[in-house]
Amino acid sequence: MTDTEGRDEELFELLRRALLERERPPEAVVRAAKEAWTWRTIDAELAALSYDSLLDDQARAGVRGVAAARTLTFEAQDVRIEMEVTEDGDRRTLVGQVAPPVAEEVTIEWADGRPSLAVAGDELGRFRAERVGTGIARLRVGDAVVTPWLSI
Amino acid sequence: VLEPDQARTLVEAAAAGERGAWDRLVDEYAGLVWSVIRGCGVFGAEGADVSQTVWLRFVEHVGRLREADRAGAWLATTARHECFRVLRRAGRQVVTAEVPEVVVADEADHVVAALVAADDREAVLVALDGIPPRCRELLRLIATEPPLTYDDIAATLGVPRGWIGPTRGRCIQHLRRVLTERGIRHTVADSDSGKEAG
Repeated sequence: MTDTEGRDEELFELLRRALLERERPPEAVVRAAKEAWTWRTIDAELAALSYDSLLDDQARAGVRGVAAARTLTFEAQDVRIEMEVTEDGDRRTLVGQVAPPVAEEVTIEWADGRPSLAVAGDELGRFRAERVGTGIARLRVGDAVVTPWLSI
Repeated sequence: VLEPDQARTLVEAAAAGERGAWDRLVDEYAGLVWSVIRGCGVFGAEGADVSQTVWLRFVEHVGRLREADRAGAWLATTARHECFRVLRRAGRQVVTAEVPEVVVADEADHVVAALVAADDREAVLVALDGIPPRCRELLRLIATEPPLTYDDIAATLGVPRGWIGPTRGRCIQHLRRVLTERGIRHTVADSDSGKEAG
């Protein structure tokens, strides 16, 4: 190893120690992470998030400049949930469909402990929640299926 | 530092419903998640939200991990995806640019040696602000504790494994360049100028 390479490694080691010491997560963040445990669900099937327009470059390229809604698809064994989230300041409107319409209602659960919001579906499984708040949320479809948590 | 088989034991215990094992996992990996989020350029309340989303997701996944000893890789990848969502929702740029080569002046050796001798952590963190964003992200991923393997880092960043070593080298040169250009200063103003505080 040359002197320069050795010094490079010393410099990286200094950076590493600095980061470990100065960039610790705030205590509140660690505490909240521990509390996440209370949301452990063993009774419901976890639907997979199979599509999110926020992670889709093509969808984004097509709508540049337009205040587009975010579209999401969740898939569970026997049910598929499509949802659109429209932003209006700190309000969100959720419009979606559960197919097939297996449940009479869809419940929006908030990770911060706000009361859940039950939304009735129609005969086609369509649901609509107008101007709800922002935060980390998930959908529960009937009792059997939950979606992953999302920041909306 | 957590060994891979200890990580596996904790993951399995948490999956079996042991709250204590969960708390340990959080203690061990909260710093890693936080550092991935900062590396993406997400800070403050937004960063706290991303962290919480990651941990909520992990609660659901702890019993479903295909490789229980790679919890760190799962957490890092999930954190980075969640960062992307935040950045894109805000219409902000997601960093993917390559890291250019950089030529460093001869006095860099001297400057770096003095910095290391002085154990000047403040200066090196301030300099971190001045290097390409892609470097800030990569160096943070390499510096985490418990450490991520190069395979984990490659999976997290979506790059080939062979990209990491050379890029790491270039990133350290960028750090040397910034430190040399600025010289080593120990003023209070300097220590307060880190944008990433908080």
